[in-house]
Amino acid sequence: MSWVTWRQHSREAALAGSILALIAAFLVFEWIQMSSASLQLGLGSCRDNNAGTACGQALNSYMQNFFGMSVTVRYALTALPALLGVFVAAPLLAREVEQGTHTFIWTQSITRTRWFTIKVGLLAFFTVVSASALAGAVTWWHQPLDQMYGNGQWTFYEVTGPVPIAYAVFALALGLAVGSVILRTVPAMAATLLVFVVTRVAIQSWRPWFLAPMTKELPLPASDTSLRGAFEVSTPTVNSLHGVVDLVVYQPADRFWTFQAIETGIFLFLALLLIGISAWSLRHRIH
Amino acid sequence: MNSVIEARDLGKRFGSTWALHSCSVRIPSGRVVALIGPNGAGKTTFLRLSAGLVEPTAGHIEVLGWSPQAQPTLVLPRIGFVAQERPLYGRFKVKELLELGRRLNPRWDADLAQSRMKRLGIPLERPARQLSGGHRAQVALTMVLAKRPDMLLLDEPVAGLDPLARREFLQNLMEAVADNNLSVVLSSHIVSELERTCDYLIILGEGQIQVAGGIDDLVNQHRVLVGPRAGHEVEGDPTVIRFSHTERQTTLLVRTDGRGISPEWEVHQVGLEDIVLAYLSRPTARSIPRPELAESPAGRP
Repeated sequence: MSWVTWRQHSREAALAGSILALIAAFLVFEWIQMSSASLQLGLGSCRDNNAGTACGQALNSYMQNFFGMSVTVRYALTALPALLGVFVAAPLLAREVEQGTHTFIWTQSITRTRWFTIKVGLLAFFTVVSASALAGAVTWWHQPLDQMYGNGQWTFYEVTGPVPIAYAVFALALGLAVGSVILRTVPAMAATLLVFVVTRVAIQSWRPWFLAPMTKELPLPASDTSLRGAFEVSTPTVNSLHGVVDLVVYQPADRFWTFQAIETGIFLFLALLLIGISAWSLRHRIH
Repeated sequence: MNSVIEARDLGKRFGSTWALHSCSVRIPSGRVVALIGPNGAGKTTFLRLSAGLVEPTAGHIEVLGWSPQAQPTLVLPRIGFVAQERPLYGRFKVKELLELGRRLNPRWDADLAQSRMKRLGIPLERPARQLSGGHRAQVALTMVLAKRPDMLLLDEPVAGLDPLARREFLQNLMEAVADNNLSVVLSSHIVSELERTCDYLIILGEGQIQVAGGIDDLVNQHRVLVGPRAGHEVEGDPTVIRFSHTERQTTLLVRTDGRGISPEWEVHQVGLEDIVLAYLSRPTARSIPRPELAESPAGRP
């Protein structure tokens, strides 16, 4: 069965492999660019990065060079799970049923449950391996960028750690479930994309409130570095007993991994539910 | 084994429509069974229920003694199912399809598959989607024959083939059946070629079995009666399959063994095709509501 899976999906696998290789090459290239720029500008020995200082100017020019690129990379990486769900997972059952080939493969001497388990198992394995490799690569890649972000780790929250792996697993399960319910390839792909985006945005909006945020008053102009590495939820300017201050609502830096764990848990739980839906459809809905 | 398929009050509903209902039949082994009926009569549903692709909404079905839904690991290796569209993975070359068959079927006969391809002149390197209709049907048949099954379930196996390919396919099928002592259930809405191919008939109409039995028995059990103009009471008689009246005489196609018919009727033999057409034209006519009637009498070939 793994041979069949491989033969059937070798094109997709080759495409996915090339995309991953391209991304890896791009990350390495940009890392070299960033490191050499950082070396050239002497950012390594900077202590005071305030605007006006030589270091501030150097950092400024560094940011101009690399900020846009890093944002693009982040967006591109967060789109990858959607591609997986839409182009690989959604058609997996839908296309078989649409072309009637499910009647061919499910009447070999292999039950549809076994067929599904092996196929999805292999796919999930490659998904987790590639997502982990990519998350690892990004962790290594964004080190030179950390200096320019006050909250480096939070900026790359969605592309490092276990969270992007959970996104990928979720996208896979979502595509399978939607495909198994809709059973038509193109509508299933569209619906998968829609549900994926809606879910990601919803959880993203909920994220600041996973745990009750902390608050801190900072006198204006703010130059306090005690919040370095924190995830700022909002920073309204308010009148307080100490005059006009920034009221910083934030999640402290040391909650990063807790948040990663919570969000990973949410998406893996959703993925499990969705796998349940596809297993049910497989057994009772598809004929 | 006495029967290859046994259905009791089998029913399948899609949405609000019963594709098949109250279907009870026992198909004896070693037969080539034709499942006849217009489109939408439930032929495909019956075959898919037998292959375990569909779950029954009501009743039970056993194939080779097991439930195809609950015990697929026992049933699947012993049946060969080909859907009407003869689906194959279009991107797979013929030799890759055979490799798929080898890997997914424990009883796979690689020599049989290879030699059939060679004999039929089907190139192993050709992707399935580039095969002609006839070749595609032959590859699909080869895939199920090489499983070394006990029974074939073929949905409209010759539909869409030109007459030559059709004859070649059926000839080929019959050789394989004779060589391997296979049971076959095939659906069709073409009556003409069945007499040469099949020896057992099931007619489906509007989701129910109208009649089931050995072809010779069915021919023996039906007569055309011609007599003086009869009243409308004959039209309600359950043994009357078809009636027609002219001003002075009435013609009936009746299920009867020929005995006990009042002498005012002139009794004629009737051919299979006429019997089938009579049932098809009256989908509500039923002759075999009970499974015991569907059993074949002892001593059949």
